[in-house]
Amino acid sequence: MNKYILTIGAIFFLLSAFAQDLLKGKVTDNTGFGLPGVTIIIEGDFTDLVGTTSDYDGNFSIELPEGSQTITFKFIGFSPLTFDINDQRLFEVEMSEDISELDEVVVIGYGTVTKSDVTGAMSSLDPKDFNKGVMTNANEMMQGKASGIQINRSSGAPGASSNVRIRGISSISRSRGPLYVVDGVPIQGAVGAVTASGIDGGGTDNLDPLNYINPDDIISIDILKDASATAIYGSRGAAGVIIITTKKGEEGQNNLSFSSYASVSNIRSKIDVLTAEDWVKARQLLSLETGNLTFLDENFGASTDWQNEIFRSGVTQNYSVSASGGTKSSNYLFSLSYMDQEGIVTNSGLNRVTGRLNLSQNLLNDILVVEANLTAANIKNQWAPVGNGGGAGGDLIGNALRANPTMPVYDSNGDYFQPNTTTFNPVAMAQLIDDQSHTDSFLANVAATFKIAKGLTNKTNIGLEISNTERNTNTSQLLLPLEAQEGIASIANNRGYNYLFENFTTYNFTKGVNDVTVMGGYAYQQQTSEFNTIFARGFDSEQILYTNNVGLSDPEIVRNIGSGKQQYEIQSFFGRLQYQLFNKYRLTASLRADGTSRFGQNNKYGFFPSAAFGWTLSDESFLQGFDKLSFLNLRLGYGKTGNDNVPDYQYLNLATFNNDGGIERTQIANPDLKWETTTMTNLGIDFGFLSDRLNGTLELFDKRTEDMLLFLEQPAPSIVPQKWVNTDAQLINRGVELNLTMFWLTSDKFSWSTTGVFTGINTTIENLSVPIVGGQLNGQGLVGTFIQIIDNGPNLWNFVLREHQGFDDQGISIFAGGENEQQSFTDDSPYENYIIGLTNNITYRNFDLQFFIESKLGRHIYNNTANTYLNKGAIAQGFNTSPADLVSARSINDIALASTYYLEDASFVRLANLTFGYNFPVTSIGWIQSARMYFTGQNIFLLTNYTGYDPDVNSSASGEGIDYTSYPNPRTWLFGFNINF
Amino acid sequence: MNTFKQITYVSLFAALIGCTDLEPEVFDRIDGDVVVLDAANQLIQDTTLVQNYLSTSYNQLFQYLDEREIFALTEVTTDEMVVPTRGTDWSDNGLWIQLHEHSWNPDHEFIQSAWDGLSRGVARTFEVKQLFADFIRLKPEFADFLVPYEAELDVLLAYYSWQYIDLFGVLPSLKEQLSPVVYDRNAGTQWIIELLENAIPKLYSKVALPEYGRVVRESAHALLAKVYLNKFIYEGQSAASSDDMAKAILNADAVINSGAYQLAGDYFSMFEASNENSPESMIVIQNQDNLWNYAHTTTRNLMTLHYNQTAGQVNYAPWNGMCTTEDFFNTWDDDQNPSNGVNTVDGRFNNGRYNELFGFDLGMLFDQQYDPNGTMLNDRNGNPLSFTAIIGNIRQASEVEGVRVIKWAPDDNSPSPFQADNDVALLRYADVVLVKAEALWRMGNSGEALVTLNNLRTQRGATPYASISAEGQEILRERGLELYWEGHRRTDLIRFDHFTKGTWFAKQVSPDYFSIFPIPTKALAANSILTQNTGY
Repeated sequence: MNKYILTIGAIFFLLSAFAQDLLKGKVTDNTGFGLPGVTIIIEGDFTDLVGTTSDYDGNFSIELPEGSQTITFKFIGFSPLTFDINDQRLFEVEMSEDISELDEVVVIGYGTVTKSDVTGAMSSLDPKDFNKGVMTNANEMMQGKASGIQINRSSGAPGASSNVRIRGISSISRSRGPLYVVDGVPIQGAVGAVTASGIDGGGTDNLDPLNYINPDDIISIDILKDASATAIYGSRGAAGVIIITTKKGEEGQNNLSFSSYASVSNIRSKIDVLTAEDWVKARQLLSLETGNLTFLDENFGASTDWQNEIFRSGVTQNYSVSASGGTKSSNYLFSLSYMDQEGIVTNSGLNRVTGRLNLSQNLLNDILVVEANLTAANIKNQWAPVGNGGGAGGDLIGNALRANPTMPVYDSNGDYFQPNTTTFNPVAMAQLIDDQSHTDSFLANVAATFKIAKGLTNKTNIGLEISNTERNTNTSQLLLPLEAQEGIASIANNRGYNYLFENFTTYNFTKGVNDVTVMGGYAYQQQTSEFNTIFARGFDSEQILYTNNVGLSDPEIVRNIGSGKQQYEIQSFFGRLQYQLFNKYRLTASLRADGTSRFGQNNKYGFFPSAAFGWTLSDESFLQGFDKLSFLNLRLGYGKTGNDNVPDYQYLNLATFNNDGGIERTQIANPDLKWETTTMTNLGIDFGFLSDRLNGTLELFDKRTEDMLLFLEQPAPSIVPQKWVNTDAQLINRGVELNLTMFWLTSDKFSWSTTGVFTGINTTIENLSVPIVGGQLNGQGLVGTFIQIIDNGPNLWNFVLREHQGFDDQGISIFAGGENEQQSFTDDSPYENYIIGLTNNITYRNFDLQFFIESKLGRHIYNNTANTYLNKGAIAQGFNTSPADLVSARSINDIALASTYYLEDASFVRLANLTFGYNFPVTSIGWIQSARMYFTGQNIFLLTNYTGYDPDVNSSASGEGIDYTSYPNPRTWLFGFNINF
Repeated sequence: MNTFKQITYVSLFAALIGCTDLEPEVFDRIDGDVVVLDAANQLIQDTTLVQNYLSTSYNQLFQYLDEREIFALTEVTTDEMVVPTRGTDWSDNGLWIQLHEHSWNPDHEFIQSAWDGLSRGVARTFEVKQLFADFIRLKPEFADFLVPYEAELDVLLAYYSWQYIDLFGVLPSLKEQLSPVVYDRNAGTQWIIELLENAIPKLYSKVALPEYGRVVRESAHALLAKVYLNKFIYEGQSAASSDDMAKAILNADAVINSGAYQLAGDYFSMFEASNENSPESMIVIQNQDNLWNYAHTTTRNLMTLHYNQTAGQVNYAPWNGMCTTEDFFNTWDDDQNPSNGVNTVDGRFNNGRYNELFGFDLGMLFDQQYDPNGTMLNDRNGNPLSFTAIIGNIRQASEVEGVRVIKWAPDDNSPSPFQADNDVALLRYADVVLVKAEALWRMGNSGEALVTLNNLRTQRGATPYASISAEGQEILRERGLELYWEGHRRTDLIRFDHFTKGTWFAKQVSPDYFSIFPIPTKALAANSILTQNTGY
């Protein structure tokens, strides 16, 4: 083979050696207007030989070197064109604007393909699709933009994580997000998520694992949805794969860009509670009705809106600078960014610095391409004491809702007003709990691509990810209700190390009408995680922050300390065949064998095959008559993926020591544990009408998870009550996804397009032996209340609640079933039936307008906040309550039992984003390539019946769709600009 | 050819780096299979290490301190304890009310946690037994040395197993190689009796092993006496057999005649922080003030005291939960006329020794409450904090309703909450005396029973009984007055046929099957040999 190529090359060299040819031409758009700045590349056997750009009128000329074979024209926004040169020396080329995006290159894992050649189900997003505004991470940028992917913010706190589900929940055992692959490196999941230990009021939001990737560095996000696409990632593809690619320098495009924005965020709407005046009136009325004069007490005379006291206008600043460029043989990009985001809750925020360096260099006559991508980030988080960690004392938001509105914030001495040891002053709580985390993250990968021969390349990729998070929580003893703890210091450190080695070889050849690409490779990944914690109490002084010198704690009070370390390894062998016939029939088949360290010798390896077939019908002669139909492509895919998401070392008997040094077993070996597998069948239709003016994709899928891993009760007596086992239970997700884009107008001056994404998912469970109970509520009086169940049928975390039927004449709740008050099943699910996203892009001359409307329909949320705090009875106890409950027929003696009274329809329609931009006409200024300013509003308008802060939250640790004093989603107004030099 | 060489090199490189056995190092724990031999070798060097292994089983006793496990099942279901809902506080989805009203079902969370706790108790003890068996297999010279320690484990195993039989009417247990087996109530009772009888001759007596808190021969006798006393219930009989009662007396006497235990001179001293020298403790949970544990004795104070009461230095806000019923409170009344208040000279009723330190009494807390300075306390609504015996409505109680009970005095030296030093006796000498009295009465020997009973009453400063009635109400009453809030009430009420048939505040007659708790739903699903108890 090699010899053959060399021979051909030699002959060609001889033939062309004396021909000093000049090739000329002109590039125009479809109106005949000359296009300046078009990149023109002359390609030889398998390398680029020479390049130039067109002049102001679109003309060009280039000297043909020996070995020239093809000429390629590339221009941003236009479809690239390639022609064989042969004897032709004049090229007058008309380039057409690329609106169909079908020729975009998308990343599919261990390779790329053009979009039209994709056989699996995937969505690709690039910067023009991303959500605009204050974006801390890639998950926020994607929300609502791609079909089949459900993203729920766990809270509105800066940098809080999102629940990301691709095509429904694929495993019920452990909350399992998709696999994120950044520049080829599968990143470790929960880096940086450290939870403060057992403090009343400690913030419990998790941080998003993608926070350390600067959103401005991202050039594309490719979401692999069906198993024929994800199977190449085998084991960890079951929940979908999100491939993030960062920007690279481009040949001949030296670029310096600077962007910045500033924004102001506020709470969108407060929860309605009584004003001080109404509160006093209500207590007076109560006193009259009951004859109990004590209801006249506890009027402290002030008038405080506690929500106003803890919420603020949060200012965010973001600066990003990048420089990039490249030559024929190398390119570079470096960027720096700084973000300072104030949360809308006082004393909360995020501060981030990131740096990136992406390099690529061709060596050995372009036979070897070496790339390096490095990013480092430092993130500081200031946490508000908001979340599930409030215990009986409640968290900051809970206390702000229920605090007596007649309490002043400060007493006459200027100290926090703290009337007794059971009442939290919310402002004192926000200020006296100092909860910070620092995360240092580093991600680097070095890849070498070796072009062995024409069509044959080998790529080696070595990746390293390090993450180090330290969280320091100080709960001051000046906070009266926690005075008895004498000051609490909690230090928690998490470290994660993630190493990747992979090597794969790709061979591509074309013979006649056949185009074949074969890829085979090996990957090894090792992830190590370590933690240590210190928890100490009893400090004498407030002058030193407790966690800065934890040794000052009272030695008599037992200090809780802990540490641990685990390692996880995964080894894989994979291969893929892509075959294309007549450029219209496509077959992709892949097989991956994954071995995991989590399972025992018998079942370490799982085999994950896939096959997909694509057929471009519009290229068939029998459809040539249909002028209106410009593109029609049919895809059918099938594949298996796996899940090994159980704790490490499941195959071992593990032991530890008791306090006295005796041995205690902590884990009973399960050598039979094996992969949970998900099988997916996908049917996709891509279509374009009217020269792709209307184009879109329709996908139908069936996804089944089998051998489901569950943490099940063991026959008693058992040292460990539960154990991980594979069960017969099946989780079936069926769904429809539709992406539709319409270009209403595409003239030079005025263009308007609309993109709609629609997702509908139906989930069923079969063969589950015992229902799984979850959805534990939080709050005083609600301990031990579980309101959700997973059971056979369409019952994934459906609500199980007493049915509230109103109040009797005493104002006491009536429940269906009467006295026994047992919880009974409701059909209501926390999951939406449909998600709809609608994006409109309008440009007029230099102005552009984009707005994005998101809607989730047919979902329910349990308002745990109302259940805990907003009951009429609270007024009798000296707390605040909601005006609605106060005027209801309810008695102050009615127990706030969990019931359908607090279950709310959480469907919503939201004007999530509106961006108005202006591009300065800078063509006359040579040194500025582009300049743009824009104005963005986020979370502008919301239509919902939900009475809490926001319907799109989930704060439950053990269920889904439960809202307990979640950090509200802010409304943000932003002004920003970008300049490219 | 160069190309192929390069491919080969790259592949070899990959293979060298890669191809792992996928068995990474274990860092923070140890491989349970390797460690046994190491431990056996260490034990040869230093035989005192054997005690370290025993604590794995002893540590499981701590589960009796958690107010949401076995303790709730044994007390909240009776007249001794009620947890009314106050506003939203203690509503807890009706869990407490279900227990008190006898309307629980197999999904009840506390029933599940009690079952899991016992499961761990039995399994952990078997684990140590298995470990000892492994030691002997590896080093046969251990066989004789380990005999008394194995017997000690057997007594703890019998204790956990007896709780299974008593609460759930079934005994899930383990056989050789830790494989599961299930005994029904009859067979399980027999199994426990044999276990204890075999252990007794191998155990050290209290005199031979005076170390505080260790289970000794007398502990085994005491437990056996209790098992025999209750055996007729476990066998489904309506009355006790003379044989069983004779054996109960025999075993009780073995304790009494050992001379190693005696009735405490000061009742409340048995529950104080420094109660290590209590002459009555037979099986005991040992707390230390240098040990932090949520389920510490502090819980017993926090769960009952009002929010505005605080216990000494550890002024941690209490929870205003558990109280006793009016019915039980009135059993203290010697003239049986509650309208004139409770009249009693019984030293167990209450005691003011800590008034200056904590402001509140020990024993029954009723009427106006004070802080340590003698200032009257108010509730959170500003009403006087005056505990009332009467609770109007279990679902809508006020903050002050219900008499509170402080049995284990707060530990004023404890450096923080949850580090109290008070130990908790799960089996106490006074109980053995009462077992003897009851067994005598059940055999028809009322005279001797009365003497035994009055002996205890006199010691506690109460007026002696004139006689014991045909129903034995004096014995049941006395058990309540002596052992209140110590986790015995449910078993006692069942023996006097008063658990389901009896009525008290917020408790109607309940179906007989409530005498046994249901097997939790998850436990039933996990083990196909188990069948749900009748009625559920």
